[in-house]
Amino acid sequence: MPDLHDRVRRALLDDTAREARRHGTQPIRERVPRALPAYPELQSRVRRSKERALDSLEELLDQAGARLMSHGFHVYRAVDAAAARDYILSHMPQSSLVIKSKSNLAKEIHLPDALREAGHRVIETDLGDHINQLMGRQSGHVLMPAIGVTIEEIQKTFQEQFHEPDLKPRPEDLVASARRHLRPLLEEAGVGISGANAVTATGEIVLMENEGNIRAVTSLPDVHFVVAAVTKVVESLEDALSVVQAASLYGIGQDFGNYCTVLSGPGRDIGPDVHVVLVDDGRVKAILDEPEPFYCINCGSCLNVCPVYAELGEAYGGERLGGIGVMQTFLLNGEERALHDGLDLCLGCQRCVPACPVKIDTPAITNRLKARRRTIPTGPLRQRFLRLVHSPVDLKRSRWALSAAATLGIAARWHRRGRKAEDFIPVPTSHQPLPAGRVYPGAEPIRGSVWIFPGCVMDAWYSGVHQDTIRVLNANGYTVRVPQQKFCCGALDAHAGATPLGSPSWDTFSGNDPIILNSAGCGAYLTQHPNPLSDRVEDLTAFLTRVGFRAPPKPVSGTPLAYHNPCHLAYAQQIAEEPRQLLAMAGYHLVDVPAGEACCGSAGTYNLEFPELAWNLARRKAADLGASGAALACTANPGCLMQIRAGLESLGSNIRLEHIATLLAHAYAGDVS
Amino acid sequence: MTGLGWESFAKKGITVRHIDSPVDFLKAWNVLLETHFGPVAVLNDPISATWLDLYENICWIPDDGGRAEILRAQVGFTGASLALADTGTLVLAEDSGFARLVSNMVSCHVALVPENRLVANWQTALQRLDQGRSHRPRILSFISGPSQTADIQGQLVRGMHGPTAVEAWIVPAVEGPLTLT
Repeated sequence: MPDLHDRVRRALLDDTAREARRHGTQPIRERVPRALPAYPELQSRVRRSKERALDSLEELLDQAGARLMSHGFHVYRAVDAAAARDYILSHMPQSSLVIKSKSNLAKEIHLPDALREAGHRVIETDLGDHINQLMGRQSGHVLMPAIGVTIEEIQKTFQEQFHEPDLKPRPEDLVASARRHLRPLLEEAGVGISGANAVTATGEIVLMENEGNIRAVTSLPDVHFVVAAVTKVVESLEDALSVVQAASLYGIGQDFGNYCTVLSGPGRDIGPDVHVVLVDDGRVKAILDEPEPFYCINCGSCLNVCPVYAELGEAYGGERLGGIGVMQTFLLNGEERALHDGLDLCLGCQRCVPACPVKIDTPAITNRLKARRRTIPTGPLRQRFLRLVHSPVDLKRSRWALSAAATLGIAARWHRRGRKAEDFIPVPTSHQPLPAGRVYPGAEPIRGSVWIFPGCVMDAWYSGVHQDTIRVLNANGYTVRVPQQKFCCGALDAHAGATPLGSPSWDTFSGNDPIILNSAGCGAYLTQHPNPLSDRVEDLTAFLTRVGFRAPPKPVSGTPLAYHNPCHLAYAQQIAEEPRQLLAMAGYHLVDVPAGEACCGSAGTYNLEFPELAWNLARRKAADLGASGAALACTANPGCLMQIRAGLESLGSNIRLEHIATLLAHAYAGDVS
Repeated sequence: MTGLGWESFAKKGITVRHIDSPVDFLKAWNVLLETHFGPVAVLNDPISATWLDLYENICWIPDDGGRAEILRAQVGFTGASLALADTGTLVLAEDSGFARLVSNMVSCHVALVPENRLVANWQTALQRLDQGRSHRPRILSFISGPSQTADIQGQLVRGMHGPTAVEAWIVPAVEGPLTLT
């Protein structure tokens, strides 16, 4: 497979595949949130059942093996991929016609290749997999393997390979054609190979699907092999059915898959002899290290919401797709393979976490795994930037340089070009960093006192936003104190997989007053990573909502406003409604933004590491804000601010983008234009 | 079973017909054969046997035929062990293996569902199946509509490998074991 950066570059050029992916995943993104509220307990239930199962995996595997055998199944525990392949090959007749349903594990252990090399004919029966097989392409999604393929490509393939030259590019005609073509193969086949959604310690195999091919594969041939990773084992049939229901709900927004098959034994009068092959291949060892990635139930929900997958498709990953797949690869196949597959591609936006039926925290685990690397494969610009954020003197100097670049029009020119990492040139506000130790008294009646968290980049480049934050807090009756020491929260380093330099002076925030942040990224990092301030840090918008917002005496008069909620507020801190409510109370009229939930691509220093991808996301976000019709936009994170401003300038848009604190402060001052 | 309804089955694309008498059954049969013309395979389970006993030109499985006859059939009748109200799902519990074939390899599957077999959800269904039994039926098939795929550009199309049409005929209560064959 080509080198990571090459792969990324190539994938970014394929607009057709990206559009096909969007087309395929958009209905799911709309359906899932509508389907979930009816099952409020499911996510926690499945999570607990997977935790329990992997906690006592050896014991459950022994129980499952014994019960499956007592139910009449043949059972084989394969230590590795080769053992699994050998077992299957030695238990099937020569030159078999093999019908296979979707199995990510079979792909991982290269079973189809091994079967072909041994002289068997393998037919993928899942429609998506079959399309891929005919076209000789890799799967593009765990549930929708042919997601990046256009209907015209499918039409052409079927016309040629099914000898049906008159086929029209209509989904129903193409499905009917595949049905006609595959049916005789289902009837003739001697061997069936399926995966399993779950295997129970009580001796059942549970499978879920929509097409009916799994039911055919598991019932028509003489021999049926179930190929399942050992991590598919759960305690009970109730747990297994919860798993498949969750996969269906989160994966496609359907309350229960079309077909669920529970095998507690081979058919008594008719049906194949069943071999259950439980494959370890490093999993038992890996879960001792990091169990969470192996709670995955392969529903593909994380891919459907992942901004990187949306851009790159199957180029994000190797044999296993997306952030979750890369983590598993890291743990099973090592650092080098994971790096090659895209360990650094995760934006850390955390949108996948609430979207996961098992609540796997892919971004946090990815960061942990990245930090284990012996060397940080980070580009020179990113490294320079990471050094910069820890040096107040250099940061101060950089503000002058960046201001000069903006004044001379260099920033605008580079933004219009918008291709390289260097092109992301921030435009600072004209304010000096906050004076250390300064106290800004609140307006009467005083309600209390808070700290402001100055941070690194925010203080050096966006101190104007700090001033606005202080004004808003003061207007709400809070005295604001600036600490003596200013430091980087560590988020930028953590996301790059580096160890933060120096030790932060946490005790500069003395007492118990809340510490207010106006940077979603820092807020997310400080609330999610254990530190002495975790319990006291609070985002400006959450704080104002909690204490009761004093609306400006003269709110602005309904200025249309497009709001971009930063991922690190929305997904990492579950702060979504608060900023909107505050803006509405300040008199702004919030307009709808298409794909408002999408990431802008800033993501710490990601834009310096994968600039082309980040520029794509920035321009897309800018275009979406433009489509809202508003002339004014705002967000709540410095990264998003510089990223989206660059995107807007790149498109030549006239939309003005501000920090939410600035717009709220303007509302108090009554000077919104 | 108060409070539970059959609405969710229609939402899943399952045609629901209420059968109260042999005359109702004959009417439904005639309507069915207008659109699904061809050989009929009927699983010899206690529910199907009650209603189709007097019908001719049908192939009883496994008495009159097996795999080959099922693969040739256009229409397949089975009883239903249970039905799930929340997700619109039919549950076929069996030991033999024939119910799975009859319900999957035909163009149209008709499940005869005794009205007393409607339960709230799969959790209740498992409890009912486990009542008074030391082991579970060998094969459980949960069916929530016609076969479908969204593999071509995310667009949902009915009728991939399994039946293109599924009907649930609600018949009067039948007592006795839940396992069909």
